[in-house]
Amino acid sequence: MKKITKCMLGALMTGAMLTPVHAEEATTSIQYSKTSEYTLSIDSSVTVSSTTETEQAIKVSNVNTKSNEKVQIAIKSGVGSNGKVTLTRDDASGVTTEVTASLDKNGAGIGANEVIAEFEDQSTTATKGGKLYYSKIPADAAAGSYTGTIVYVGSVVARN
Amino acid sequence: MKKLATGIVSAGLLTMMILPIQANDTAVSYSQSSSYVLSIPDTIELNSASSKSLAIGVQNVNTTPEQKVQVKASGLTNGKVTLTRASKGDTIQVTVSKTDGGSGISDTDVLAEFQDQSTTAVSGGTIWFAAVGDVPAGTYSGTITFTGSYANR
Repeated sequence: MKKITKCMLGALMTGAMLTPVHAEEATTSIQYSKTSEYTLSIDSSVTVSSTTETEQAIKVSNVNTKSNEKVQIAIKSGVGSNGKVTLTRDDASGVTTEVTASLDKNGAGIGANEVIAEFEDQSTTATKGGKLYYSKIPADAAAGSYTGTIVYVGSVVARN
Repeated sequence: MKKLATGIVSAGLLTMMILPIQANDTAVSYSQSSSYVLSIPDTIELNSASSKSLAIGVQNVNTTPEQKVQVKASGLTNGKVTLTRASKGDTIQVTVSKTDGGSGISDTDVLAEFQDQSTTAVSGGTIWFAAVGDVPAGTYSGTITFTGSYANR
């Protein structure tokens, strides 16, 4: 009986010692998401001319978009129908004049909500548009200093 | 004569019965092998401007007095994990270190050690991912595999 007991214990101990070494793995997914970003960089003032068309660059800086997104810049306010921009004489007389803003040289006035520039990836070179052209001031404009304001708006949209 | 013989036999039996019972020892043995379960978050979201830590933990740790659990990582290149941008396939690399701002770890570095029945690391236990910095916008992902094994103390 004693021998049988010893054999059984021995078998149990051998079984325990033969248990395979435990090695375990775990996997961690490392993730990072960088949202699209940009900074509008448009001159705060432009002086139009009575003799020549005036060009204005519509630019961005620090542009960085996702591969499926792009930055679109449009006119929020300040441009009326047919691309007309009203300039008001500074003397409070109420005298106005107007110029036409277009996307092309000597082109037609821009339409309402028309996209005037697009940028994507990390490039500050416009993939579409990027310039506004202001027509000459009408020759019959009354003398004086005139100002008007155009407000631009940028947004990140999906690429087609 | 018969009585005498009976008396001698009785004395003999009595003597035999008075003899002490011989001891019969039994060795009772048991062996519990070491065990543990790795407990590491399956995802971590990195940061563009600051480092991010990741806890290397275990559950149900139970080692023999001679052993300890060591955790190491694989999937790194020169101490950096590679993240791939979705849709584009371009990659960025982020340094992984044992200390905040430290140098990159290698596949042979022990990141954490546990022993006995304690889930508190006796060494290491946290790794750090450096700030991602300025990279092209998008969603990036990569993988690190952690492996636990026993080592002698």
